[in-house]
Amino acid sequence: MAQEASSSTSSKTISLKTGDGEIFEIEASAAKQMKTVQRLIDDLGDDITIPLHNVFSKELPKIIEYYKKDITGEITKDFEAEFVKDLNDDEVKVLFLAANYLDANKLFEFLSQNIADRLESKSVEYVRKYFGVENDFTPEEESKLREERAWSFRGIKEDE
Amino acid sequence: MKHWVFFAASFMVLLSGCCCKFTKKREMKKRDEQVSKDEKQRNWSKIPTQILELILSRLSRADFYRFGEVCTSWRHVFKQSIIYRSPSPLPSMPLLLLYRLHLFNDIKTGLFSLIDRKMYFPRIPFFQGSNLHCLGSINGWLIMIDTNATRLSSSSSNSNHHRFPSFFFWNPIPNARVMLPSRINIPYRANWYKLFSKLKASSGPDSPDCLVAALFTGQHNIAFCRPHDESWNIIYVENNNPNAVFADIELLYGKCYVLTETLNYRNITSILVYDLQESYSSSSPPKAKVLISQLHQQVEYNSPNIRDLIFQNHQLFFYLASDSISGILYLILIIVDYNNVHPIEREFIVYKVDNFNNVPMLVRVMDLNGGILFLSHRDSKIVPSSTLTGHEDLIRGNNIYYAHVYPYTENCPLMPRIVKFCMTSGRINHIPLPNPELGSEPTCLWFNPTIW
Repeated sequence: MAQEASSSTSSKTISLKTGDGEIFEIEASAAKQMKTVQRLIDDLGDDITIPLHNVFSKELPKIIEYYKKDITGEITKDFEAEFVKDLNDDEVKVLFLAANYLDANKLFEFLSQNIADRLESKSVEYVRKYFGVENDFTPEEESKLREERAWSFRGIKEDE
Repeated sequence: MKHWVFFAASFMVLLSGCCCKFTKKREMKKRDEQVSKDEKQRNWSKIPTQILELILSRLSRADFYRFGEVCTSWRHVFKQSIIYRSPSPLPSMPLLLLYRLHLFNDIKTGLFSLIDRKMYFPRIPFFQGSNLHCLGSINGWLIMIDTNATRLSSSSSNSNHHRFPSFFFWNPIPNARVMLPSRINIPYRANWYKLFSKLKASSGPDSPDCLVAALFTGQHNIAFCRPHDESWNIIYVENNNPNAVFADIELLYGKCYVLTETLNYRNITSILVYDLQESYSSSSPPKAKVLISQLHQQVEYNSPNIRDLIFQNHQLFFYLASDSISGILYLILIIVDYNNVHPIEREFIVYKVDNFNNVPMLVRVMDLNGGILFLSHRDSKIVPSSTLTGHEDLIRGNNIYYAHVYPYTENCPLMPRIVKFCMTSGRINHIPLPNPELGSEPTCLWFNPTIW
């Protein structure tokens, strides 16, 4: 691994390649926030295009946008609200998994809170549909579970 | 926790690195197919536990339970978190538990949520049978008395079978019970469910320092015990001083504080303190020490306002409350106006016990150190606002939520009233209760169910 002498790392950009073959550039300091990327840089060097097999061109730009704001210290509640405002449920899920894969802690925590917010007071069926999970309980098991849950008395919102 | 992800990620990267050249061209052509295939592979029922746990830890209590009903693998994660008590759901506001004192075996219990202002009726009936009563609550446990439990008196040769009640902590969610001593040596026949006017616990029964103290109704004596004691200990007041009637009790750091008042006119006189923990370690009955005397002088009794109010058909209510996190003991005075159809709370005045030149005295305060006080005739609990999540207005600190069932007057039906007092602004807001269909004279107390 030949490390070429480079000028200040703050101006250096790293190339990331998504699983569907597209290349994006991010600042080295933003890359540092994504621990997976940082480890890859440490292993492969910062001149090589870093391959991200499990992240795709749909979501990576959003992630880059978040960390661009983060390195300038400009992440506010308003920014975060704007960030998720136009995302539909699928997009949030995809971002969430990508953030987990990239070990991008701040974004990951933020998105897990957002998902929890989206699930607040929603019915079990809604949660299943949201995550695309199949119900593998038998009807008897299900009614037994509902009995056990006699304590969840928050009102159920109508499915949106 | 993230090691798993790192391992998986680096493994996948190495794998892809090897296949990189080989699949490059194919990837470009089959880009769309690849994307949809990956979507299916992101099967959320097989998502690693750590991720599900992260979502779990951000759910409220109700959502936490619903999580466990989604599918079998999610249920497994849910059950593990119950066994290991981690992650836990977000702490939430206490509910107001309302239940009707038994009459004709018709018990109705309801729980009122401040969050959506709705009344909920548990599907599994709370108290089955008219012999169960709730005397207090702490940290998700209800302190119950079962008046029907039959226990023989200690002298079994006696032909009279005295019925002794059974006292216990009860957590309705896991249906767990921790027994308190049932032996209580009182020299008179008691109407058991009216035995105690107040009962407070210092912590839940799972804590080793758990102490329970109770104030006898009308007898002005205190009983106290711990979960594994053989019997309750009773403190008898030495002389029946009509100026030192016990009005309220509060536990803090192993000590029991007692608010005394005069028999007539209910002027508060002093705060006494009994060191219960010291009494256990020295095996001798606790002796009362006067913490603050001549309380009425320290409270704004001398202010002309209050004196006038008393003559203008207002009543004063006094309560003790403690904050075990900051170690502060509070005295709350509530001025209630009885001139209208129903009683209206006009003012809340809060004092804390402070040391001034090593002399304890009352100091009026305008905040609860960021805490929220949930107050009723049966209990008082201070919850730090920072531990709650929810709407800003709801969880803002330095608020008092007061629930009370006022004694019956001609015009006023026996409905509980809830008001919210904001210490910062001084505003008092009435929170309307939906008709609870609970009939007359429900008991109300604040209850915060916990999963374990």
